[in-house]
Amino acid sequence: MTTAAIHEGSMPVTITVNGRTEKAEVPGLTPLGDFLREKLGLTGTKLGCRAGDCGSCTVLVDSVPVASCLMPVAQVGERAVATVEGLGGEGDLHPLQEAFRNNNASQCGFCIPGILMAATAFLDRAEPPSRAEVVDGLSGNLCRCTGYESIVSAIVEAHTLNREA
Amino acid sequence: MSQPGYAIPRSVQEAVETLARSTAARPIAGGTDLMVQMRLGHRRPDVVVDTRAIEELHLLRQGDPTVIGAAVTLRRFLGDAELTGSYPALAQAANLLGGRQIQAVATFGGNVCNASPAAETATPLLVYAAQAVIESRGGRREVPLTAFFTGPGKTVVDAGELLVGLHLPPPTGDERSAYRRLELRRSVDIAVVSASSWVRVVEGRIATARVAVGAVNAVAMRVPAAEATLTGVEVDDSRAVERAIAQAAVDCRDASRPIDDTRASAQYRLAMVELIARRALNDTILTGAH
Ligand SMILES: Cc1cc2nc3c(=O)[nH]c(=O)nc-3n(C[C@H](O)[C@H](O)[C@H](O)COP(=O)(O)OP(=O)(O)OC[C@H]3O[C@@H](n4cnc5c(N)ncnc54)[C@H](O)[C@@H]3O)c2cc1C
Ligand code: FES
Ligand code: FES
Repeated sequence: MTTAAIHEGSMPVTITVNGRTEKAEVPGLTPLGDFLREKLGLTGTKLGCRAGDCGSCTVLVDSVPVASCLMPVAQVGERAVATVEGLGGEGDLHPLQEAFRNNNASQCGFCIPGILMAATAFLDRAEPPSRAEVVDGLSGNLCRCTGYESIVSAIVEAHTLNREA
Repeated sequence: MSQPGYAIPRSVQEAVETLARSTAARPIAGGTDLMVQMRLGHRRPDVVVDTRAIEELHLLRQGDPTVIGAAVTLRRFLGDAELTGSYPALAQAANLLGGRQIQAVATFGGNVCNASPAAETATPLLVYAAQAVIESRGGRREVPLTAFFTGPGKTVVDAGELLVGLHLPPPTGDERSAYRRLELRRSVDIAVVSASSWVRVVEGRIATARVAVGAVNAVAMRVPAAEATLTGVEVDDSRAVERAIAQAAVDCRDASRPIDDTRASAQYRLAMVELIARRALNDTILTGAH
């Protein structure tokens, strides 16, 4: 009978983030969010509650929104991670970023990277999402500032911008 | 404290051998309970055994029995129209557990092994008469879910054992079921009170009934008195049905020994369990042509 290797202390981790392969030696239980921020310097991903409640740490793992504060980095494996840094930047805004700007949908901004990543789930569909569907899809994201209305408007608009792009 | 070791076994055999190396070893699935508990110091495993790479734990199929692997995520189950159609109470419960990001990684195995008295999937699995399939170095055993939970946070899964999956009897076509819960806040909160019910109607009468309540005892549990109340009732006799539902809801309250905690007082839970049980039974028997 064989046992699996038990990695005490640090272990080698290879993960793909925004299309780039990254290697590091860290404890396997390091939350993906800490790994992104501390090891890779990708500080766009925010850590709020560290308990799965707020959604500010949302990233995509194989295109699915997950809470990066709860996922051990060793569990990512071969799956592709996408963070807000991969969406776009100055002069090359992603339709979501453009729509958030158009709608003044960000105030302090802390929740926004997580909300942008959660919202990518709406863009690929044929029909624009209803406001109710957006609210339901954002059930795992909290915003202390905006009251959500401008965020919902931005996500509905982003769907149109994305279709036109 | 030093970080626990991390192991990624590829098979059930490898996993139980690895778990057997230390009494403080623990499996990890989606981590949505365990990561938080470790950070708060409530659980201190010396080794965590990642279940994601074990193929058998990802089995999901309707049949005789229906199999839900321990590492199957709630989202994956919710995306299966056949299963959600056959086991609607389980689908309703899974749909209420956490937001999208949690459902994407949270597993059935993690939900039942964490053994919260309020665990969302516990009461539906109880009324669907699920069996837990548990493996250790000594072999495999099956335990009915009615004997699975032994206290808050405690189950019959011992150190060194792994839950492989849940087996459910196949749907027969003449049954109906539903789940209801009372919560304070959607997505970030577990139930204050929950209830599931399941009935099988043969020749116009309730031939078998199963009722379970959550968050009102140390463990989620069936309520035999309520089941007896419902058995034999003619489903087209609306007055008899109404009476039986009201009495079964009272039976649920009488079987409850809730506690005070930060979510609700014991008194409030006691008042609400009757209401929530009645709603679940109404959905099942009156509206539920599931
Ligand atoms: C924001 C948020 C909201 C939530 N809302 C709800 C809710 O509404 N209702 C609810 O019931 N829960 C809720 N939860 C709790 C949690 O998400 C669920 O209990 C989930 O199903 C746990 O699954 P997991 O895979 O993440 O478990 P993990 O955290 O990986 O494991 C949980 C426990 O099960 C054990 N375990 C896991 N797999 C096995 C196995 N194969 N064999 C033996 N032991 C095993 C682990 O050792 C651990 O003790 C919520 C959590 C969060 C963060
Ligand atoms: S930091 Fe991950 S959900 Fe709040
Ligand atoms: S903009 Fe401040 S939390 Fe959302």
